[in-house]
Amino acid sequence: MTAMLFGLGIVGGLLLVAIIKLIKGHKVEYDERQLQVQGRAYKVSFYTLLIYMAARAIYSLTDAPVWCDEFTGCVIGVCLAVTVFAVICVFGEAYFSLRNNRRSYTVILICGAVSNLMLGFAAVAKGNVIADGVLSFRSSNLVVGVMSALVLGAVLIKAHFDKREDA
Amino acid sequence: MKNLRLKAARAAMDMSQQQLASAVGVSRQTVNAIEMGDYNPSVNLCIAICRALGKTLDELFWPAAPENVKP
Repeated sequence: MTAMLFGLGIVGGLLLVAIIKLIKGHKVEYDERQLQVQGRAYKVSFYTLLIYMAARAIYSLTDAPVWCDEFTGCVIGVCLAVTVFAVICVFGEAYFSLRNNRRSYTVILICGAVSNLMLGFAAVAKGNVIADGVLSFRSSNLVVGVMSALVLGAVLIKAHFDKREDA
Repeated sequence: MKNLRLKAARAAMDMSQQQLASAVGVSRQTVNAIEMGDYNPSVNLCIAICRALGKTLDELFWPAAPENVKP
């Protein structure tokens, strides 16, 4: 039941973002070089996900113990691919569109990372993350938090290098 | 290969990379990448840059003939 609510929450969140975009009609703009970088990033993240899924499939055929449930396995794969995509875009100057305000997006990233990590660590403290010796879906916040923190780290490192170049 | 002609034309117009980027609808990093020779722009972008700087495609983007080539 809890897992179903969790899944519904994710679908609800995605629907909310889609509706907001539909209402606002917000059109993100990337120039041709940024789209080229994003194309390369999509390719690398696609192969990352492919390799991860293949590794998971092969692992499931062995007698090795199951270490995470199906939901968590999928979340880790998606987060891995998204992280690879985002980091390549950040270092290729293709993460923020021409209209995006970098500072406000960085603040959103910080909020996302902090809130997810807090929820994740709270679940760890409660001992909910591992159920029956398997990483449960309650670790999702931790996984998403780590992903957000990695992307945020890439954004901050890139901003630091840019500042040094401009100086 | 660096595009020094583009850089010179931009400097002659007293434009920053950001100003040129805004004029042609791309990011400053894209203008920088073109000047550094890290990115080959599309023909449409080349034309937009030429219009913004009042130059022709030949003047900014056509590669200079090698000096040692015999006719």
